[in-house]
Amino acid sequence: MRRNDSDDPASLPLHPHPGGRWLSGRGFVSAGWLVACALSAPGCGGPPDPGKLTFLVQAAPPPDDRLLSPLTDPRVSALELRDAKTDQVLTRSRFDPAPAGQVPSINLDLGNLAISAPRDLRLLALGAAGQQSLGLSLYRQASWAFGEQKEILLQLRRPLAFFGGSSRLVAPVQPMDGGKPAPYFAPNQQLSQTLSEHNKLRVIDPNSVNPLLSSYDAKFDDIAGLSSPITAAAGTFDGQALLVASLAGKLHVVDTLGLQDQGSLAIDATLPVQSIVVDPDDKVAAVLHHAKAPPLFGRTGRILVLRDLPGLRARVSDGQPLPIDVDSSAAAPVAPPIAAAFSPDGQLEVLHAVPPLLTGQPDCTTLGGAGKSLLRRYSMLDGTVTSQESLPYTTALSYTSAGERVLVQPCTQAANAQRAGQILVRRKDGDQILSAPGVAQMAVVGGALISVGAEDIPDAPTTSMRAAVRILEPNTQQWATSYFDLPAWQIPWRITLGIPHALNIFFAPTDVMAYGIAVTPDRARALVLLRVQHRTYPGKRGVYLYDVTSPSARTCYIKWSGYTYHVVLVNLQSGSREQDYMVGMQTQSCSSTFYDDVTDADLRKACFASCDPAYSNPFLIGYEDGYIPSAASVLFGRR
Amino acid sequence: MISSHGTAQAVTWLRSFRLGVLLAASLFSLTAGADRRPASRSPRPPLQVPVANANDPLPPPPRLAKVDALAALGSESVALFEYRSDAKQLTDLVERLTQAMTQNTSLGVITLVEARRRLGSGVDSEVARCDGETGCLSAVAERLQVKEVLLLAVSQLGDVVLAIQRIDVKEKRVVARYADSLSAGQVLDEPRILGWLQQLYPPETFKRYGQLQVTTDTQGAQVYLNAKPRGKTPLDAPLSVLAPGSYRVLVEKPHFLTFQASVTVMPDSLVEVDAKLIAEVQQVPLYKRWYFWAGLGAGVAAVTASSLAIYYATAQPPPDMTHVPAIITFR
Repeated sequence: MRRNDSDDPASLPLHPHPGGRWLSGRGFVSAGWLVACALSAPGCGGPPDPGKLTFLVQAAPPPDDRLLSPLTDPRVSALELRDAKTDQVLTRSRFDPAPAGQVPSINLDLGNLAISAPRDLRLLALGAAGQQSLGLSLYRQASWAFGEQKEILLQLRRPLAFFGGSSRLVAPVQPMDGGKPAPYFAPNQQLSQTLSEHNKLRVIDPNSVNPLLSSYDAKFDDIAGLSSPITAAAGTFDGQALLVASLAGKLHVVDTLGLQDQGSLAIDATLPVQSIVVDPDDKVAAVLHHAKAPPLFGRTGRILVLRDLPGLRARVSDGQPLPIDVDSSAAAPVAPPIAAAFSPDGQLEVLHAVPPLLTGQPDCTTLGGAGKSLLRRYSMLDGTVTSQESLPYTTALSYTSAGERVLVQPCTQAANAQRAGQILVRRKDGDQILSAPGVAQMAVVGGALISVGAEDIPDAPTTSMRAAVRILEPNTQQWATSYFDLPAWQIPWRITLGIPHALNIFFAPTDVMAYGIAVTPDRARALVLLRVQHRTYPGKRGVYLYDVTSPSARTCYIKWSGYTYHVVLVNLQSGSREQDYMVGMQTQSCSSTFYDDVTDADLRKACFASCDPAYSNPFLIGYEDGYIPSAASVLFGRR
Repeated sequence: MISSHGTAQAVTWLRSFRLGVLLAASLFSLTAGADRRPASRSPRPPLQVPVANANDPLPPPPRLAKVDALAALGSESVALFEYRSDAKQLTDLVERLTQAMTQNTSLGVITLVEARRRLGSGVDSEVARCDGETGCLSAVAERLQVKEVLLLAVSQLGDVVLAIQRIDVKEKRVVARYADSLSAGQVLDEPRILGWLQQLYPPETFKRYGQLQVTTDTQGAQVYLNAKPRGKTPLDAPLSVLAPGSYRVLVEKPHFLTFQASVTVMPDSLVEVDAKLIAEVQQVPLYKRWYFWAGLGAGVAAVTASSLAIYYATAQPPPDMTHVPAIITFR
């Protein structure tokens, strides 16, 4: 098809002048314009200078830009400026993606922007798909006026996610073979070798094919070559800092421009930090301490309120810390602080309850019913309790963008559900209850609720559990749910002597609990910490192993219970599991026994040596390896 | 900043200029209407005022005809295929996308219904078997004799997730992609659908065209379109023009009265202009000649236009002080 742009009616000349003898239209008007100018000088005065608004974008400089800067990402093909509160698009600029490793054109025209009163701005670096946010920036209280020459510095970051570890899980009895450690004779062969070190802060790029940014994994508080595990972390809502708590009793501030540690604050080292919460304005942070196995009475935990987070980040103050000790007594029992949130009116709310990650917890036979958790409001001036509310067992607390409180209650069973576990949304028009088994922690992004947990199926001998991804969109009543499979736990059973080959037993997953979740701001992906239970069905014989006929016909059965710990990347658009790193495992119990084939009686004689305390190498009793992942966090915050 | 102001000024000039011409035309019309005698037939220089005055025999009105857009323009055709994966919402999306493409682009759209008509009912299973594979879809599209395939994939997980791909049939590769998602219950409006197309296709695609076919009963006449020479009759082919749009057609030949017409061309239409050129044979005194009065009228109009230009120059609208030019710069 021939296309002649010069025929555009918008540029249509009004006088035909085929031979060029007539005065052209523009010339005619120009002459008139000159006359007008001569007669009226004020009318020819130039228009007022509208000024200029320049957005300076700063991202990681070389050599860190290769992995940390969204600007060198060849997938980035558009920048979009939005009002951070209303999400209204103010302007956008599309461009051809730069070659890999190169920054696109230095200057991009954004056109004319309406003058603005102070408002929060969010810059998005978008991928070619148009929706994937490969970089973000938040600038607070930006304003510009007509005639003003203004520069606004936007700190652009990838929406990185992070997780940490815990003290290493060490088996009391190591598997040996001929007096030497037997690496092949160990149930840890499924553990991720890449993530084997327990004492690093791991950096994850959720939008990358290779999400592990291992070169930026960080160690903190290194003493004599031994660094301390990271037990809690939280990204600020402006994406420019990450707060990191180590088991050594230090709170570090990490600058996300190059992921550099900017300094640390000494905090209570006797009680490990289990959680850090930052308020949405990045002005205050709360650090929750409690022992891994807190006592019933005495000091069960501590809340450290940092009332000047900007000062701490700028290294001009110690953050004005306000410690609040949590002491329990027989007269006034108080569980440790396990979760917190800043309410829409700026108050600090803290949940006190039994930590759900303890072995055997949450035990809903004892945690079911009312009054198992306490929700307290604390004054950030002096740490006093301003109000408190008794709740069923509750492990997490959040607020939606509409200001609705969301509570995760793992031991309360919703109507028509087959397993315990619910999420309660306190709406203005009444509570909304959603079945959510296997959820100890969830995420709120805007008005949407995102959780990962267990499939709602009966607990039966044949149960093979799948994980469930549940998303509740704003103004909807039901979850959108998808499922993904979980791997079986592989236990070596019989070794071919002299040749390192093993026959294995596979224990299917029977339950799952998500105790950590960090969702990217665009809701594309979630980093989830899962504890998966593998056990034989209680009260039954267990797993058939083998049978013997001499001296009598009898059959060996094994009973087993244990946990595997996973760091999982979930694609929230498709509901699929994209990455699954198993980083820890723990045996809870292990036993075996013969059953008489004729009388069906339990002969009470062990038949699986690795679970037999009488055997010289009973290493599968209490077998532990790897670590329990912790500190799931993401830049640009989580409500 | 400067270019923005320059544009604003140009608009002001243009407004002044248009008003001036309107007034001049009105005066001209009044003057011409006062003298109804036959026009002079003496030879005239070719660049005089067009002949649309009442004292000349009026040329017959242009003959207008609409023809099938695809047949006339040989438009680039696109086959629109849809894949659905357990998505029960937006079942009319293909129809709405087709409508948006038809109304806003110069592309010809071949839907699966049309494909069935051309290739038989087995085309559905052929497309399904392709499973989204580019080469396979291109093979089907080749038989449809289209240049591109627009592949729409719809799936649902809470959100309805849409993935749209442009596949170049000849090269068997994806040339553009776009994805979007709609939350449950969200209303899909036409601007959003148009927005998808604008992400996928270059701006030229959204220019629509029509055609002007100018014929004369006398060969060798110069044809002007909006004052630009476009060749002599007989023209090789119809003139392709942006549509919708209004165009001035002027046909002139020495010793013939100049023919002029204003026509509106709609997208994908063909407008035929059949100009009957009338030979000039009569002599008339100067004061009876139309251009004498036209010149007089033009003089008056020029004075009026100057006055108006002065008026508008001194009464400029206030500058837009609600917007500020912005750029983004990488450090």
